[in-house]
Amino acid sequence: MSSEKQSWSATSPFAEMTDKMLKAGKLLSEIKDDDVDVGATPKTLVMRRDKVELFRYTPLVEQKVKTPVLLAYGLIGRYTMADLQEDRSLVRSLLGQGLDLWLVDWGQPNRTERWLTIDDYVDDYIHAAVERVCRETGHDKIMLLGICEGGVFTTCYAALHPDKVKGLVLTITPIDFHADRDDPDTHHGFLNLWTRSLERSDIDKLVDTHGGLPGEFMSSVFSLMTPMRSLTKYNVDLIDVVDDEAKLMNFLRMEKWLADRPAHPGEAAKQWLKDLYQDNKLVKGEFELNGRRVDLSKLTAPVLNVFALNDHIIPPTCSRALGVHVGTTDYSEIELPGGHVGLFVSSKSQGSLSKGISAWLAARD
Amino acid sequence: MENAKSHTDALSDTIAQWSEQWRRMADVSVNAGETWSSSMLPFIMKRAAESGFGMTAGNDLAEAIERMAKGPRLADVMDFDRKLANLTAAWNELQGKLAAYQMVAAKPWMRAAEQFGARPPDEKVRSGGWRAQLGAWNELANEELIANQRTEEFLVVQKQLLQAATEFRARQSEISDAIAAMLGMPTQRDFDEVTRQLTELRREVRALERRVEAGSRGTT
Repeated sequence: MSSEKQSWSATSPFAEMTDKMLKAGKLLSEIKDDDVDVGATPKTLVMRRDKVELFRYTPLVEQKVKTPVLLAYGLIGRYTMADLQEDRSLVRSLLGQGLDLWLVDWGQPNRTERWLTIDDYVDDYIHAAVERVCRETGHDKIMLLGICEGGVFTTCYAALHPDKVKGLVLTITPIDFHADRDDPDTHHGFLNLWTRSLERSDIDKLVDTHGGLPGEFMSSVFSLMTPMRSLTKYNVDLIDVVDDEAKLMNFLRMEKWLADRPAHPGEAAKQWLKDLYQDNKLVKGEFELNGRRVDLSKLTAPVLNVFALNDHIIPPTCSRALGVHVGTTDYSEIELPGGHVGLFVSSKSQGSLSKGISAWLAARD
Repeated sequence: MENAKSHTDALSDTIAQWSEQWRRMADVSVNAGETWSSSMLPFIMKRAAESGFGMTAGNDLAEAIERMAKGPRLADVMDFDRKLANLTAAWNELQGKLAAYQMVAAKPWMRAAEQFGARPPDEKVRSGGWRAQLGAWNELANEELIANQRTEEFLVVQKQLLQAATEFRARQSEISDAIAAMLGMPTQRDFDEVTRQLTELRREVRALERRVEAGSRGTT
C-alpha cells in the first residue's frame, strides 16, 4: 500500500502535466489567428505617407481634454503594445478619460526603408502628422505621447519644433544612454552594455548586410535579458495558463505582439545604436537631425516623464536623466512599479498609468 | 670540351630558371585563394575571358550576343567558385565562433548546477513539490546566466559570433547576387541603389513642397 501510494504521488504531477499539454495542444489548434486580436480599438485612417499611417481613434466618451494627443511608438516592436487587449489598453483607458487620441503607425518597414534616418522620422513623418492633426482639429499646437524610441523621436521633435508642441509625455524613454551605469540592478541595462561592446563597424556591417536591423535579431537580444523566462515560456508558463481561457488569450496576444517585430530601418538603426547608445549624443547636445542640433534645453513645453522602476530594457536612470536637461520648469515624473512591457499590459498598472497621464494632460489643456 | 661545358652551363641555367619558375608557381598556389580574392586577378580574368584571352578577333559583337544568351563562362564559373569557397570559409569560421560562444554560455549552467546541488535542503521548497524546486532552480540559473552575460568574456565571444554570422550572411548575399546577375535579374545591390535613389528623391520633393508652401503662406 505504501509503495503504491508513493508510486501514485510520483506519477501524479507527470500525469497532470501530460493532460495539460494535450489540452493546450487541442486549445491552440482551435484558436484562429483572427481570434487573437491586438490593436483592436476602433480608429480611422486619416493620412498615409509612404508606409506611415496617421489614425484618429474613435472617441469612447465625451471629449474632456480638447488638445489632441498624438501617440508615437518606436521602431522596435509596434504600437499594439499600448492596445493589447480591451482590459489592458493604454489607448482604450485614455479614450475612456475623454482624450482626442491620434496614432502615428510606422507600418512594417523592411529593406525598402533601409535608407530612412531618424531625421526622416522626426522632421518628415512626425512633422507631417502633427501638421495634419492641427489642420483637422484647428489647433496650433498639440500634445505628444512618445513610447520608448518613439519617446526619443517626440523629444527631438519637441526640441526642434517647440511652436507645434503644447506638452510632451514620455513613457519608458531613454535619454541618457549611459546612465545604466548608475543603476545598481544587474538585471537592468544589458542592451546598453551589449551595444557598447560592439565595434562601430559591426553595427554598420550588420545593418548593411541585412538592409536594416532584423526584428528577429532584436527579439533574440531581448530574450537574452530574461534568460530563464525565455526558456520556460512555451512549456511551464504555457501549461500554467491553459486552464484559464482569459489568461491563455492574454498569453497569445502578448506572443502575437512579440512576433510582430518589423526590421528597424537601416540608417536610423545606425543612428540609434551608434549616435545614441554608443556615443550618448542626445544628452551631450551633439545629436543632429537635418543639420540641426537637438538641444534638450529647448524643451520649453511642459514635460511628463513616466518610467518603470523594474524596466530591464530602459533602466529608469536612463529616463530620469531628462529632468536636468529640459528648458521647462513644468517638468514632472511618474515612477511606477513594473517592467518595460508590464507598465502597459499588466493589470496592476492599468489605472495608474492612464490616470496619471490624463490628469497631467487635463491640467495643461 | 669547352663546347660541352658551355652546353652543360646552358642546361643548368635553363633548369635553374625552370626551378625558379616552379618555385614561384608553388608560392602562388599556396596563397592562391588570398591572391585571387584580394587581387585584380578575377577582374582581369573576366575581362580576358570576355575577349577570348586574345585568341579571337574581329567578331566581338557576335561573341557578346552569344555570351549574353549562354550565360556564365569559364571566368564567371571560377569567380563563382571563389565565392563558394568564401562562403565555406565563412561557415567554418561561424561554426568555430559558435563553439567558442557555447563554451562560455555553458559556464553559468555548470555553476548553477554546482550551487544547486550544494545547497542545504530547503523544507519550504521540498514540500512545494517539483514546481517549487523548478522555481528555485530557475531563480538561481537566471542569476548566473545574467551575471555571465555581463562578463567581458561573454561580450567578446558573442561579438565575435555576431561578426562571423554577419560575414557568413554577406558571403551568402554575394552568391545570390552572382546568381541573380547570371540570370539577368536585379541584385540586392541594385535594389538597395534604387531604394536609396527613391529615398533621396522623396526628400528633395518634400523639401521643395515645404518651400513652396512656406512661400505661398508668405505671399498671402
